[in-house]
Amino acid sequence: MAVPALRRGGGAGSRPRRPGGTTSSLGRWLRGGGPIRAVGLAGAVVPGLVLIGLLVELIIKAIPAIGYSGLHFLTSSTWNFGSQYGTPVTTNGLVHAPGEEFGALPQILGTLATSAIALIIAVPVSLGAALLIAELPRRLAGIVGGFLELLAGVPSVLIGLWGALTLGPIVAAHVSPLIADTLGRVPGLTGFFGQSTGNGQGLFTSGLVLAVMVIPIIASTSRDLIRGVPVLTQEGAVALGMSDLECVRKVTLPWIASGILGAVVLGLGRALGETIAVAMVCGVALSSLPTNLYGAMITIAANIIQNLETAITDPLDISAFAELALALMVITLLTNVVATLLVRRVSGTALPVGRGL
Amino acid sequence: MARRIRLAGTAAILVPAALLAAACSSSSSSTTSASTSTSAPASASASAAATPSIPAAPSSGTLTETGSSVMFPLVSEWQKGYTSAHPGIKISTASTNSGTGITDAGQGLVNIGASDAYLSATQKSDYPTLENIPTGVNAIEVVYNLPSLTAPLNLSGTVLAQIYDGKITTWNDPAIAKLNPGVTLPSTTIVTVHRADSSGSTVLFAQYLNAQDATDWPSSLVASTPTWPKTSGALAETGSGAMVTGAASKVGSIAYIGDSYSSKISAAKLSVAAVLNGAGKYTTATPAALTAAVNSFPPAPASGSESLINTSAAAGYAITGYEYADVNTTQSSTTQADLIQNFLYWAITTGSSPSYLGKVDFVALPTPTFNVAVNLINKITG
Amino acid sequence: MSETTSGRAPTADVGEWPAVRAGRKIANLGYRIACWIALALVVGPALWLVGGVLANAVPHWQWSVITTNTAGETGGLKQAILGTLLITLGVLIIGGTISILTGLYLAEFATGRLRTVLRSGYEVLSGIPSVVLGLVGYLVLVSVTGLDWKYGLLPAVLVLSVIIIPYITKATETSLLQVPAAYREGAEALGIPPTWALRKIVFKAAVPGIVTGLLIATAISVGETAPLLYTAGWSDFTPTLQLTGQPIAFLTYPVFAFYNLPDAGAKILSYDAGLLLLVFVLLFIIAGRVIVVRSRRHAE
Repeated sequence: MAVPALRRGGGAGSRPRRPGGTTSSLGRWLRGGGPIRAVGLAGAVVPGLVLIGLLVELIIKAIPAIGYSGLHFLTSSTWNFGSQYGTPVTTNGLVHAPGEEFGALPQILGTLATSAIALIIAVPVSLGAALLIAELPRRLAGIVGGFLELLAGVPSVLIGLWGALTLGPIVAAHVSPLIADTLGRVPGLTGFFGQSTGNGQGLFTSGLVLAVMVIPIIASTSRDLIRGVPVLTQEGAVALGMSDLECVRKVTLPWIASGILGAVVLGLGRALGETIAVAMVCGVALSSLPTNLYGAMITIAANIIQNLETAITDPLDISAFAELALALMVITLLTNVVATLLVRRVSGTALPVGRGL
Repeated sequence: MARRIRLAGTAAILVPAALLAAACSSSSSSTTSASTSTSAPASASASAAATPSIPAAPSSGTLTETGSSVMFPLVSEWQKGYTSAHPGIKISTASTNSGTGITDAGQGLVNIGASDAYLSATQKSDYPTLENIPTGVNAIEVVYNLPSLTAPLNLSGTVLAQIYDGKITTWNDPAIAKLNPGVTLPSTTIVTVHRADSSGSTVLFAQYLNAQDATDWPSSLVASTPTWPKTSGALAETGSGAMVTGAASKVGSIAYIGDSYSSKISAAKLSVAAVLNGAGKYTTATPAALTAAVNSFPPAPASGSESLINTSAAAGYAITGYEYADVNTTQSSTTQADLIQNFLYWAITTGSSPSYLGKVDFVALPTPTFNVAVNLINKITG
Repeated sequence: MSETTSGRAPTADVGEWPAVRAGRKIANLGYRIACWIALALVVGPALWLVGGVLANAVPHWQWSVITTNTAGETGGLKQAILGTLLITLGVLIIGGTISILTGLYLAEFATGRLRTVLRSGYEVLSGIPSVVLGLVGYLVLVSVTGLDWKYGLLPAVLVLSVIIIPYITKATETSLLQVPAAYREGAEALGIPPTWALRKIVFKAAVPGIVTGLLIATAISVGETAPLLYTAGWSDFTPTLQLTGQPIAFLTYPVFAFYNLPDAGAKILSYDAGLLLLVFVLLFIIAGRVIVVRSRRHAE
């Protein structure tokens, strides 16, 4: 809600002069809320400064590796920490192990693939659940809402624990063979769905674990948005003889489309940055492209957390990790930008029905 | 005046100590060849010579340790024993991996980093003041999950390299059958289990594969985190304990695990293979085999870094190595340095008696390496 | 409401309503079934997870877990609980202060372009993965190549503060902006100086929203693992208030470090840590609900 500009600041200019009051500028500054503004400004610039400092540090640290790998970073599939016990070589003043190669394509694709699978599973499930929750009686909706809050608040390491010890083996033993037998038989999809079903450490389990983390975000936001659709609009749809499905498809969802998109982007951001849970279930296969739903793979975040110890003894490896961190930041920032543009576009073409009701 | 008395007093102690040290070291070199196949602490005479230069423990203090999961069970026993002998000292231990041991010790984040792998040239150039002090001898066992077999399988470096390479995929492959005549091998798929973290066990295992089969396992794959060749259904586990759990979870698995986990390995119904050594014999990791292996190599150099892989002693175990305590020679204070020196010396003497080493199936250092270790310990200053 | 032919009686003139195509009915039925399946898929994993942790932790629970420190891979979790509490307190003090000031400034004083710039500053920060912040924290604060503070309380608090700043800032800004204009107008009409009004009236009304934001931030800092691995380290010793150079334990470490060990004792410790974390989450949810209820009562 907009607070009229008159109340902004409260500095000397906008306030009516009190009769008999002091006119010294210090006094005005003090009474105009100067100290609070100064302290507030000091606090408000901190996040921005931290952000700039972060980027500067990462870019400086990443420059040697960027020079070393060039475009191979994005195109090559081999990530090699080098012949650890070979004779060190020097590049650009850095002493490092010979034979190092930094192809991050499997990690980049792995990050995108796990998040994609997570969203493909999470979005329909969250929307379906939210649509149902919105019509449940108040008490039941409260209990289910509690489950959503629980899932949202559970530390990701616990979800990783559950994924590694419980979900992974069950998926490998029962769910994956089912998928391999059905979708895997479809010609053209055999390469991705039809291979050997692995041991529970891989792309599918990682996607499932991420989906569990993303569902609460999308579901609770969607539920609030659905509750916010005006009753009048929905009653109008019913009056026209629409079934539930048609009402949802034609009225409810388009009404809240931009909000849902925002929630999906929030979920995507969570999935892209998730580290510990994925590290526990992905199989940590440094140079394996995610060509197969069940095979072991790796994401950027999982690589950083598993291999930081190896990297820190070798300055070029640390530089490559800084480059990886930059790549991950670029991916998340790009998704945010694309999403903001999409949301604006979707809001713009929303149904004219309802605006102003 | 007081200072002169103090100097004289110090000299009075040091001179006879130096003479004693000279006398004892000449006698200890003659006992080198005599120290064989016992797990008793090597040459008490050498320790008597070295003791005067090891400072006493301060009355209170803390020690922090992290690193190798293979060495962790022994470090836990050392923690209990040392803190009961020195009640004012507190020791914090953690089981992570050898890479963490090296990097944390190098950066001064912990006092002692445990590692199964000696320092590489790159690591030495990154941490010039870091030294690796041998504290014991351990072995890496090759463990597999085939409940139907009773006798241990014979496996060679070539076969193991081809298994982890993806060239051999089932247990009844002719190459494995050739090494095990008369054994009915199941047709189960082989599931390779490897370490996901920066592991010294991986280094030792990879060095063995490279020593026996440099074509299938080139030296570019000898590292704490090598780029593992892709094998179907491979499991990546973090830490030696997880290797046991991982291998136990899937029939047909094969894994490489330090012998300090022997009791857990047998409790999980896993079998240990007999591994081909450099003399063409198949041996398992018994204390006698470890001692034979370590004695077949020349004495450790002054830096302490030495490979004990692929011994040519007929009774020796092939995948053997020193357990290292990585310590920064420049510590934050003299008291801290004294504490570390005292602890490490205790570890290689009292802590290397059969009551400790027997629990983890390690063997004690041979005499020459013991002396090298003492010299390295003396280099730690505050 | 799956019966779509009108329940209302037709008026006499209109005649019979047209029959509904079966396809629409079937599609609608399919949709409702799919929604129920979706709900089961949402509630199921939550129950499964919580049930799994409870089933593994409760039968072996001993109160000594809370009163003893960890010794290697056995013992208790006392130092981890204290460490988590200490870190969270530090995060609320440092991160909370900066965030509330930022939110306050953005809601009350900033205008136009400055506001957009400052807001985008913290919004971009919210999109950065926590592992990246942990890595930079390690390189800049902990490592010898940076400030060489080593593992400690301060590096952990600083990195976690950066992670939670966007959440508290957003909560502060939103709740300040939602304070009804009537409050501000009334204060202005009475001639109350703006800072006085801000302090005593506007801020007080925004407190429930701010506290909810602080609660979310607490939940996040209790549950984070990756950044703490690189800045807090791990320790078996009871935490002290020493800011740098002394590693500090935290509750999420045993969960992922001990979960896969063949030692029964270590595995139980891992599940015990999981149980304690779940108890924390439950407390947060309850606290959140209490705040919402009390603020509604006050608002009336």
